[in-house]
Amino acid sequence: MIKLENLPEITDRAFDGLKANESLKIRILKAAIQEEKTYTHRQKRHLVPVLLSSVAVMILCVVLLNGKKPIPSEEQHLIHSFTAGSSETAPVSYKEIDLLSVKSIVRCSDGKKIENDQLKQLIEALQSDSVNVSDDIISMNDQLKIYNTDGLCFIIPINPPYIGWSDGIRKSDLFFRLLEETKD
Amino acid sequence: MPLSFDELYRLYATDVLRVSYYYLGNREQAEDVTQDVFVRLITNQPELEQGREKSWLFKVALNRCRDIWRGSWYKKIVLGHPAFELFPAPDEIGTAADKYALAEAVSHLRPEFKEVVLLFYYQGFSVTEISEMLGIAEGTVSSRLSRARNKLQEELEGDEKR
Repeated sequence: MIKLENLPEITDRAFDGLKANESLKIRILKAAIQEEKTYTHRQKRHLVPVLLSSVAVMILCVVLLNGKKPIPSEEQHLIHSFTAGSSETAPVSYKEIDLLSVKSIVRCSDGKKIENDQLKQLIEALQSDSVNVSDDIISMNDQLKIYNTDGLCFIIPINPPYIGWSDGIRKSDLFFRLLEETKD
Repeated sequence: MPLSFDELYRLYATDVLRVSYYYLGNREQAEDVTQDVFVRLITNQPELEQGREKSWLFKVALNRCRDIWRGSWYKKIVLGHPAFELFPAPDEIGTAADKYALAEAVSHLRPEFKEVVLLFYYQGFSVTEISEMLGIAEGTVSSRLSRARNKLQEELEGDEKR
């Protein structure tokens, strides 16, 4: 009976022709070089998503910062000019307001509402007693809603004595004085 | 001073190759395992304590062998026992087959028995070292060795009767 203790001797004899030779060594070294290359390449490849994520984060930051950045007053002027009447209707010019079709005017900040005969004076002041100050840079802080009898509503940004129409900012001291004096 | 790749290859590569061959019964697979082990040694550059290099090499080799053995591809291709063959020295060819009966019987053991037998009897690792290498309790190593001995005895006695 052959004993297990003889296994090394028996195995060495049985496997004498099975040796880790020079060709296997060269194969290993080549594979190691290839592995190193692949590893480096993989590392570089891993950098790509990292770089892309960084760029995406940077873009997001820029977008967010831009979103929070105070709008330059030139842009505000443009925005408010074009906001006039745009919320529920097309942008409106001060010339387009038809006295006969206006039903009411509401100041958004305090909800003051002017109707009926008082409207005529106000609209006339808006259209006749106002000057173009489009070259000035005005920041608007309130809104007027001009309701028409046909259901349309023009939303006009204001900052007394300035009014932002679609075709530019106009100034009307009379309009705002009348507005203050008028009872709702 | 840590041993170089050349020294480790010279000292242990053949043993790794033979143990892998014992495990898998396929020369190409055994060479692949040996390659993987030494490539990992070069690329990972593990900090091996002096005298622990051999256990590291065998631990990696056996893990790799187990992976291959468990692989569905290998199980499909190698049905039953691996196609174990001997590689005797030229002048040994033609000697009595029973001389190699033990080697063949060991190769027929189930992997969990084969690895402890190879590590203990062929490579001379202690039960404690094998327990650390395989991540199993020393008692489990001893019990596997005992059961492996019984199975080998049964197989060799069966051969003698035949």
